[in-house]
Amino acid sequence: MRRIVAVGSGPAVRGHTERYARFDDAVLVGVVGGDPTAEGDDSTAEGGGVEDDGDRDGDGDVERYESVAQALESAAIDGVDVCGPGAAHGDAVDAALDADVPVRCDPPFALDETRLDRLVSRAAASDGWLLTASPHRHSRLYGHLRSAVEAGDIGSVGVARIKRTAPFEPVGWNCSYAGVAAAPTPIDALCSVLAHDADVLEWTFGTVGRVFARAQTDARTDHAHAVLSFRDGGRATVEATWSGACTPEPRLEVEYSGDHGRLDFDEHDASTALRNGGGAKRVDPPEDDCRGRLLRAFVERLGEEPSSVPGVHPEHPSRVAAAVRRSVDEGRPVALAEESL
Amino acid sequence: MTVDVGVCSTAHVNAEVYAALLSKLPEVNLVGVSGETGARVRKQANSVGTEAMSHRQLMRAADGVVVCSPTARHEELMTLALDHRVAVLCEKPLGTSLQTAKAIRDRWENRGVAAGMAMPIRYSRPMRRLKERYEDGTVGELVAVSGVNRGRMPGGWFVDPDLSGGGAVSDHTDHIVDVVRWITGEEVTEVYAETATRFYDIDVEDVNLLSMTLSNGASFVLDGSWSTPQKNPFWGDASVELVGTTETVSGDCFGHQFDRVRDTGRGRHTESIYWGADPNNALLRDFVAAIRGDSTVETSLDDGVRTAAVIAAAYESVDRGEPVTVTY
Repeated sequence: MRRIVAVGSGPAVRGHTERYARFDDAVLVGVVGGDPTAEGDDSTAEGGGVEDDGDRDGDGDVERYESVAQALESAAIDGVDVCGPGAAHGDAVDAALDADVPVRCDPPFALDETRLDRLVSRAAASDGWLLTASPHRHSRLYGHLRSAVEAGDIGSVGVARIKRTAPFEPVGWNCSYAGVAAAPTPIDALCSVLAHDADVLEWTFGTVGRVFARAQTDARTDHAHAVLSFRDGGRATVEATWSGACTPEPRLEVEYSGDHGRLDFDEHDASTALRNGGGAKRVDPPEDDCRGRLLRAFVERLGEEPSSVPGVHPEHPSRVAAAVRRSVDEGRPVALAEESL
Repeated sequence: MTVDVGVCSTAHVNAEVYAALLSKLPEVNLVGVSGETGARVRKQANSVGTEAMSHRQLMRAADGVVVCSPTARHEELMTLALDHRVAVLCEKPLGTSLQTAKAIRDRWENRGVAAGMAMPIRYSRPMRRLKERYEDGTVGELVAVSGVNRGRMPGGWFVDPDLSGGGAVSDHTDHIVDVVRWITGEEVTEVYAETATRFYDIDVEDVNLLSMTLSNGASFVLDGSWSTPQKNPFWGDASVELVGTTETVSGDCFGHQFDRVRDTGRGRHTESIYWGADPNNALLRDFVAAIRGDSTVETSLDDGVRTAAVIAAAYESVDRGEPVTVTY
């Protein structure tokens, strides 16, 4: 039985708690951070935009710790699960790696390039490791798209587009992405959202070599867009909008266009299998949705030899997110160094 | 009273559309279609029941013409029209360079002959409603704009840089930039462009991604690539989203569609059919009113210069690999 400590608060931790409770070979032994029973929308289903159906297995039935260090001192822990971007929970990632304990987080694991390099070095020197893949990699939908691309359905990519919108309410920053609420600024939060898209784009189309990004923030509305250039020549745009006043639909649009064709879907394609009244309801059991399968992969990796797991995986999408952050700050395109690949 | 209108050149893909619509307007006498390639001009003229003629003959016969030539010939044909005091509705972009566009605009200034750009998107009803909502404060303060205007690669002279001035940047930047300027009253101040040739083996770019800023500080991202597959059920798209502090509002010019799937004929065939009001028709009616002196064309030649300046800045950005300030 793998023993896990979760880091985070509110709906982010609650979503993970619910999924670990359904695993036969893992148990959540503690939570570091806020109250996992705090209210909020935690719709993390594939494609986003699917309402929680109220299933709350395992809520609140765990030890509470002040820090990862305290948790590691108090109990035998096999893995630390950061419920949100590592960039927003740096101390937890540091503490786990310092103690040679494997740790998982959402991308980006850092938005500052200096800290990013430091964490890569630390993970390489640790008997632990850092898994920082987006749940999108475990989505059947994104998986099918990737398979289609690999099979040559669209030929070589010309332009990939991902556009998403989400509301502030009811819990402020982050309703749709676990843990983004912890980002220190709206732009950091937007970059954390973009990191998921950068991850799935690199997973599908290869490494990004250059980014240019702009961001606008306001008390009630924030927006960021990034133009990405893949090393093989394709291009991509990623847009993220958060609105406190309204949630325009569709909340998600994805399109991959290549020289032989196009693949696309939107929120409705991703979430209309079951509807009740005006809202989409999730169909997959929590342990088998994209986040559930991500946590499944984490638990299974805990059983592998440390030498078989890279220090940080995947590393580059977080570098893309950090480059986006820098491009926003500096108002110029940022090239990703060859050595970072 | 009818006005005599002609289509000057059949080179542009829209020439056929304009000729067909003009032939059905009761206030228009479609006097002719002009061009250099005789067979093509005759075929198009015959299809709408009018005469094929030379450009000079058309200018002598018409009160107004729609110029549908390759962009590189706009200056020559518009000068010919001005010499004959014939009103002009010119396909976009106005010129193959900002300098040429300015020269055309300056030549027509204060000459008392109607002239404007063939920009039907301003006549799109979703865009008109979008402008109304923006102006009544529905959006609040503008934070960001997102637009798309993709299409199938048109081929022909569009991919000859000497005739077109460029590829997808030249072809698919105008409409959305123009309509965003019109709706918001803001100018594009800075452009960063990512271009590439990824979809076709052609001499111009088919990827057109622009990251811009507006004069009020809002960001503006546009995908104007020739990325629509040739077998797509619809030719492309044109839509704008305004992200504001109060609300996000979007307009899709061609959102009114239905699907048609046919098993008849050779193989299965699927198409999306646009059923909304035709903005081209409204554009041409406005042009006719401008010829009569009852109206002005919605998009002026100066508007054409301003979008030409954005296009020029986009190409400069590609050359320099950095954002470029737009010089008008």
